[in-house]
Amino acid sequence: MMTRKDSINELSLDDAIFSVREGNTAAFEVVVRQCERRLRAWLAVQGPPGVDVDEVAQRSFVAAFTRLSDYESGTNFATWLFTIAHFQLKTEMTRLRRVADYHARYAPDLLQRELERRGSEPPELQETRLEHLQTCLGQLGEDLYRFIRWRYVEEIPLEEMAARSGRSVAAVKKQLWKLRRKLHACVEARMATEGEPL
Amino acid sequence: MNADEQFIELWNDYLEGELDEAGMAKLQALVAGDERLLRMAADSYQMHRMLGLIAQDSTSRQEDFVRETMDRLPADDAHFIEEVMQHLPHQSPRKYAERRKLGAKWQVAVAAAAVVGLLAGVYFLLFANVEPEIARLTESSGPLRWTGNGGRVTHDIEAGNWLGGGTIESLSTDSWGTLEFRDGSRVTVSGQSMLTISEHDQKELFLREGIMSASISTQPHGRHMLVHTPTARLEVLGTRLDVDAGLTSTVLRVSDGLVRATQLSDGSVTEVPAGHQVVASVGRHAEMKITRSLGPVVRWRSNLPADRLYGDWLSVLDSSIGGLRNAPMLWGDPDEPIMLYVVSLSVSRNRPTPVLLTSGTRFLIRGRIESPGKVYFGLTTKHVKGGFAGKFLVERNFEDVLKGGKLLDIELHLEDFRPQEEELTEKQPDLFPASPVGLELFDWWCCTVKEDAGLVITQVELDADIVEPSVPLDYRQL
Repeated sequence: MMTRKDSINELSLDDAIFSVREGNTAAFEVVVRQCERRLRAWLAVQGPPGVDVDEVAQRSFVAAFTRLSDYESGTNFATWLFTIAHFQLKTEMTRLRRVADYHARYAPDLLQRELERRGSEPPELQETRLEHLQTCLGQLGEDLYRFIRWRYVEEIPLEEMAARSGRSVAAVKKQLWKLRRKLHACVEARMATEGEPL
Repeated sequence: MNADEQFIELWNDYLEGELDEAGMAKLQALVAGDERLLRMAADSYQMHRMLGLIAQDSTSRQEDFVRETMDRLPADDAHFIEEVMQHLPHQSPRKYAERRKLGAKWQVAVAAAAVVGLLAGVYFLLFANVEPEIARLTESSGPLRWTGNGGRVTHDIEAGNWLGGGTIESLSTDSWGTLEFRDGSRVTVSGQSMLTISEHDQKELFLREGIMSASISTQPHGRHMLVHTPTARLEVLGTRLDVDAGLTSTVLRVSDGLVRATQLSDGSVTEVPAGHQVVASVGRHAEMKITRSLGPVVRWRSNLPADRLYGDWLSVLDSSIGGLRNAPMLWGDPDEPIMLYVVSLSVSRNRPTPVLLTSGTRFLIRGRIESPGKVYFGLTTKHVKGGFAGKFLVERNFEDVLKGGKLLDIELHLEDFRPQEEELTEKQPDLFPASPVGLELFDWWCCTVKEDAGLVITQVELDADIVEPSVPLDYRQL
């Protein structure tokens, strides 16, 4: 038998928004599920160091929920949501800038500006990049992929990575740098040739 | 070292969080003078963040994110008003009439005070009374009672409800409920059981009485899950276990992993590994001995009154034997309860060996019934590897009763028992099998509905054709 939750999660985005406006708060779960990945992806790459991506994403969803009456049916909900998220991110960045030693600890000022400049890209592109990145990761041999796994999945210290691979810490750092460059090139090449994956 | 090499070294240190202030200044200076390096830095940073995102991506993380987001949404108006109204004192018509006599000025003052009170109540509701949800009721059957959120009692919890800290009571022999924590740990209470759950620094369960089956995910280092019973404290790392707790003894059976058990009466501690069991009790000379879980038996005979879970013991029923007479039990909605007349026996509490239900088995029941009617017979089962496996039912209509209090013999074939919750069996046959064959018997009960048929049970026997059971693979793996 289908539960109430199952039936809610089968709603389309438009139906869910309509249902929320009718007073069914639970239907907002559909909105969160359908949009959270691309919103978090966008925040992850747009947000400067020190920004808690999940926190800003949740604030954006809460703000969207409370202002749902402002949303014009039939227009692009994702665009509307990202406008809210952009505002939330700016608010968070303003707060961080006011932290006395933020720049000393976290963010080279120029990097932050470069990220802001890139913020004009359509937000959907980041989700596309994320999907291409997964494909690119799948193409790495185990001898290279293990560095990604150690660094990002297992989160082990560089010294441990050096011991496991029989290399120096400096060599491991360089390897990670090369891998990021290689993956970046792979993703951008796929973006150029394939665009958005099906 | 050229500028590119210097940049790469500083940038890597930056991403690893190892760059000091002087290094940060150098990095800033390098990228300030070179647009190409700045782009490389931004590319590398965004790739670094995406890799982090992919590495953390998992269904459970998404579920947590969705749940936390939904929890942060402001309550909807209808719910909000209902909550506020519940906290306003009910006014009698007489008081209302007296208030009408008050002057307008006084009414304004009262209204202002009421607003202040209302706002205080709202504040209390919104900020003081909010508890984080820690577990979800995933499956249930029969009457359950939940006490949580500052002592609020509810009888209408249903599968899918999220719960904060509080107490769940399984109220009837045929009722049970499974809670799933956010880390996937599952705990089932069954029969007449009372379990309090909390999760602050670590998960803590308080099983006051009853049966609990649990499958616990690996817990964070140093934050074992604690299970408290009246006679024992159990520290659980990540394991499958079954606990049967009474006021004077606790039986712990570990199917997987390791549990550290403390007998409260003397403070003795023992570690119970997979395939072992221990009994913690309050007897003066109680010694907590760990024993290997024995292979199953396929025959069982009740030992009354020691096995009694519910019912009134009649010490002399028929010259030399005693019997367990059905006792009334309120069932269902407390506003419109249904009266059941129940006899219930524990199969597992007083036995070191599990009782395996095998094909072709019969239950031979000796007892007495004073008036005709339908009698329901039920079983509570668990999986051989541990974990609640559901309840099974069969009914029999007794049109003729033996006069003069004579005892009658009832025979029930195991194949006639059907799952109590057939919908769950359809959805999750691995967790809730369609047949009790191959499962372990936890307890046995019978009841009549609304009518007291004067049911008395003197003995229940599980009779299997096979004398020496062939040990199922699951037992050999324990």
